[in-house]
Amino acid sequence: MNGQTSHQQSKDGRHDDDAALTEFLASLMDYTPTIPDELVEHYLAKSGFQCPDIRLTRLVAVATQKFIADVATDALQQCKARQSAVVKDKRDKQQKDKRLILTMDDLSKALREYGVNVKHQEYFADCPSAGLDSASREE
Amino acid sequence: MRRSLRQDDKPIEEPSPLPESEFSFTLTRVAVAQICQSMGFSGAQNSALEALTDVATRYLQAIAKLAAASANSDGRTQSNLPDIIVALEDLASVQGFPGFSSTRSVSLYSSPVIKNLMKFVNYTDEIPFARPLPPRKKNFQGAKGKLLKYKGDWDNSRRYYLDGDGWRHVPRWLPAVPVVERKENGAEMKQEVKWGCLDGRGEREDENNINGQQTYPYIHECLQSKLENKKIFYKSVHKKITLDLAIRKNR
Repeated sequence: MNGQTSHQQSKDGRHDDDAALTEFLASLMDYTPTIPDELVEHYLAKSGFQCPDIRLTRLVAVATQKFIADVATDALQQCKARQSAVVKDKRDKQQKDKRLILTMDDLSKALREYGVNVKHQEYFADCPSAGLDSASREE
Repeated sequence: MRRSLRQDDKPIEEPSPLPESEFSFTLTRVAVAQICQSMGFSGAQNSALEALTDVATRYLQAIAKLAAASANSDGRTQSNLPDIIVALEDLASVQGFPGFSSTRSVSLYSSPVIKNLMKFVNYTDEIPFARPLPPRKKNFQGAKGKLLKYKGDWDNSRRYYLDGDGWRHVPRWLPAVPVVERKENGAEMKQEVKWGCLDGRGEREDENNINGQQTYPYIHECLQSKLENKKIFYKSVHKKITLDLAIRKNR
């Protein structure tokens, strides 16, 4: 008895899931992902993915968009956290709040949680006076 | 690209074609920059943006590879929705997502990955791509779709091998053939001695220009081999004629 009801419930659950999924795929045709379809198709074809269905292409595009949005959100949080930690002048902070810039530092910290290790050279010194010029400029 | 207003038509100088990988990378970079902007960033370091774009392209390719692999393991060549869900779950397993412990217990369709995606689509505004994309065929070789327009006689032999989207002799389920970018330096290509044996003339001028158009190396080789065969044929004919003449003289 209990097994049957749970089995039926799972069946109903499956129907709901299927219905939600078909509705979702239909709604994908209205939603235009940021990455254009042709570009996604190019990368998919490059890797051996074959599917004539456009909705699946859009699904992949939306998944990538979500991934990049998540990474960007994490980087944004890192940036804001760093700004709030360094509080020197009130006026400077207000000005800087308007301009949030994606830096390599924040990005590497954000990507680390996703399993992507990004290392970046701090600077390249090609001649002995490379660092000296900027210091003289600041003065 | 500026159009000349003069009557004497100077050919419109097209920008030098980017290699295919750079072209798609540039487009992806625009899309990624738009996404970052919608999140609240007002600017980005160049290197950071390029790194993020690289990650995006690799993510796309990773989804494709995993989905294709799961389809192939089932003996199919075309991927379908469960393949994609499996791929997405594999990629999301690095960070984890709520409900991960109950994956694949009931059904793939109830996977939390898809539910997160649905929420994302429902709650996020659309960000259409910034610029309309140019038509595909002009900028690089090996583009999918409308590849070579009918240009001239030399193209006929190649058109046979094209079947709209792909090549007839390559099965569709294989990944795209890698593009080999050739520099069109007609003057620097090897020029063999062709008709020198018969006339004593040197190499022919403009061997790489047939009908005034630049030929492709493949066609060039075909024509060369044809010319070689003709040369051999005419050599033999020449010998035969001289032999005949010699025989008649002796009679």
